[in-house]
Amino acid sequence: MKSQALKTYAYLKKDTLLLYKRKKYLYLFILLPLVIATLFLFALNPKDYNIKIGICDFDQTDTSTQAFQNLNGFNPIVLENGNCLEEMQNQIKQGKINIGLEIGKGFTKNLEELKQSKLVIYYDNTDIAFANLISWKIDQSLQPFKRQIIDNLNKNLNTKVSSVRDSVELALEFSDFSSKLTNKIQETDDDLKSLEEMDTEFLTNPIWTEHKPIYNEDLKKDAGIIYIFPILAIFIILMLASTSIIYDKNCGFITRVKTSSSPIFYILAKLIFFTALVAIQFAIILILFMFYGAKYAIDPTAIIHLILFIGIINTTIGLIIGLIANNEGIAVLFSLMISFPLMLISGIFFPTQALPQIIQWISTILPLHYQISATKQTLLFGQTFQTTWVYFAVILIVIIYYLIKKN
Amino acid sequence: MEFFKRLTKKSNPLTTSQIGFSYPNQEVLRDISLSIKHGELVAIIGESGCGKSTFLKIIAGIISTSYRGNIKIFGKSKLFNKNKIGFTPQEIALIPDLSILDNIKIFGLNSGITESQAIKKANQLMQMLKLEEDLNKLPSQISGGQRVRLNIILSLLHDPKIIILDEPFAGLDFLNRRLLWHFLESLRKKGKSIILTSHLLTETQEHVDRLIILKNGNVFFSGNLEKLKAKLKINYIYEIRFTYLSKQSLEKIKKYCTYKDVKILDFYEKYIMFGINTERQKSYLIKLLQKLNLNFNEISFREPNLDETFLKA
Repeated sequence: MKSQALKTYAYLKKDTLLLYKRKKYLYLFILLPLVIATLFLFALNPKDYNIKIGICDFDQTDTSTQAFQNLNGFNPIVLENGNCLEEMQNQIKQGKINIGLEIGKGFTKNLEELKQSKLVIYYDNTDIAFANLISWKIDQSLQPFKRQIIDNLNKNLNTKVSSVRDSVELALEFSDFSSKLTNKIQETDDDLKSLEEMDTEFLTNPIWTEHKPIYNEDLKKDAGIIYIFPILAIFIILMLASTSIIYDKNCGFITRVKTSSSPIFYILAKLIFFTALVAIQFAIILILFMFYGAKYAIDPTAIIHLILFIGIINTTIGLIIGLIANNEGIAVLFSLMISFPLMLISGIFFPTQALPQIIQWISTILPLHYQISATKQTLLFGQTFQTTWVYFAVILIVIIYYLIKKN
Repeated sequence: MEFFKRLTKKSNPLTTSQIGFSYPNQEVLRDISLSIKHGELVAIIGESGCGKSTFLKIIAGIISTSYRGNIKIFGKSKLFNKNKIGFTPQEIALIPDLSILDNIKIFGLNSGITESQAIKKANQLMQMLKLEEDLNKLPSQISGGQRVRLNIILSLLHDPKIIILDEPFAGLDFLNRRLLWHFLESLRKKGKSIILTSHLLTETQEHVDRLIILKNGNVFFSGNLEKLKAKLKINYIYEIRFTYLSKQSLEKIKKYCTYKDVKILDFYEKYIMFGINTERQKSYLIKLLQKLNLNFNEISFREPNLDETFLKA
């Protein structure tokens, strides 16, 4: 029995020592849950988010100003009135503001007349997670203002009721002065009429919000590909590229490459191979979406540009992981460590706009953000995107070349 | 005239000058300067960790950064003559999931020749190394010795002029080792320059033209065994076994050896191996042992092999 316990202790000790000695495993073991759990915590309990909201205030009254200034968690940016709506939609498309708010003419007048007033919300319906958030977020943020309106109405009612009561008392007191009484009864009747005509909708919801997507509603259904394709590409290519270089290291292939030619041809072959895999992956996803009725702007040049961008950048990152990692296990963990948080802050699962500023900033410097944006430009709008990525690709290739030479 | 002499002078296939290399916290190579001639078979020997493999890796281009010194291949920079080198790494470098044929094709292409050229050359080399296997087999389906031979063949597909082999005999049995030596000798006859490392010193001395011993990051010796024996002053090996050997007697023997320049090459319990320079030294030694009243049996008195000489080095 004692010897069995000693054996179990020995095996346990071996694994513990190995975990401690193989530092990369240890770091990943600690870092991976730390990063992912932190992201989840931020995403599920947004605290210091700051959503930029563009305002087109066509009413321009104190009440209309109050309407947007009381929005919790929003940073209002008042836009000029000339072509305001067009400018607002452009800014949403460019990502300068997150949503737009139109306060129409007569907003205050309606409220004063105890009639329901309308606010129009403009949002990017291709930004899936954010689009889902915005309907309840705006309504939730308008609650204090709505409360204020209802309180005002309550005061108004109290005033009118006390006025009716005064009138009735006066009628009883001065029943002999008939003309005076007639006037007072007329006033009372008016007040009662005003109460009778009061809009029941107004009582339940003095302001209603209309949600206007800035793109055609069909585009939301088609927009799934702009997330699915880059996410799958980064996840799969990082894994495949990193483990492929580990395989080449382990079987001595890189040794033979280094003795016979420059590593640049080896890197080039890897880039071509994995970019071809990305192209195949893209074709499969595109065909599937189109089969289910999605319509895309198919510009071959723009699509080739997109595939090159995603293929080359992801392959280079994967190769760097493979060159840093000692074995396939570490490479897979590294790939997970990079791709999983990227997915979380990509905007498909959680609205990035509701994440803390620092995480929003980090998400914008990460490759997936640009890959999603480039896929959106290419497939939804048939536009091309900037070629700045080429400079980054060159830097990454130089790093790979150096790591292979040094390895 | 001098200019024309220099122009027509054939450069050595491989020349290294002042090669130095350090791993973090450890200087492995300090100043390795040597050259290998046409059709020369050279063995680099030295203790484990003395930098033999590192030196070969630097020549082959596997270690291509952070080393000091110069390497010339046929008088030119290594960069422009990489395809003149064929390097066989110590570890088996085969793609395990591809057939032998696919390995041949891929490594042929990697060496800058076509697939058909690679297959033709591989068949030729496989015949020489008696590796007649089904090319559709996976590397894991052939024996360890066959894999070692295949590993060598894949480095020679492009018919390199300089052949570098890192521990090519590791894991080979006697017959396979002999086969490989014959193969290397036939390549030498064809004018190839061969440089290898090995721990099988006695076997190596019989086949190589020159031995290079690395010690403390420098070339300790370069030449043949005779030259090495002369340098180390060990022309004979004298082995004896005592019936009893006290500590005091051993100390006296050691003192005598230091004084008379006799080397104790090996010592274990009652066994001592002496390395001596002349027969006269032997008789002096016997006189000493008799004077100390030590009973012993003479095991051998003979010429040393490389292993024994290496003990001294």
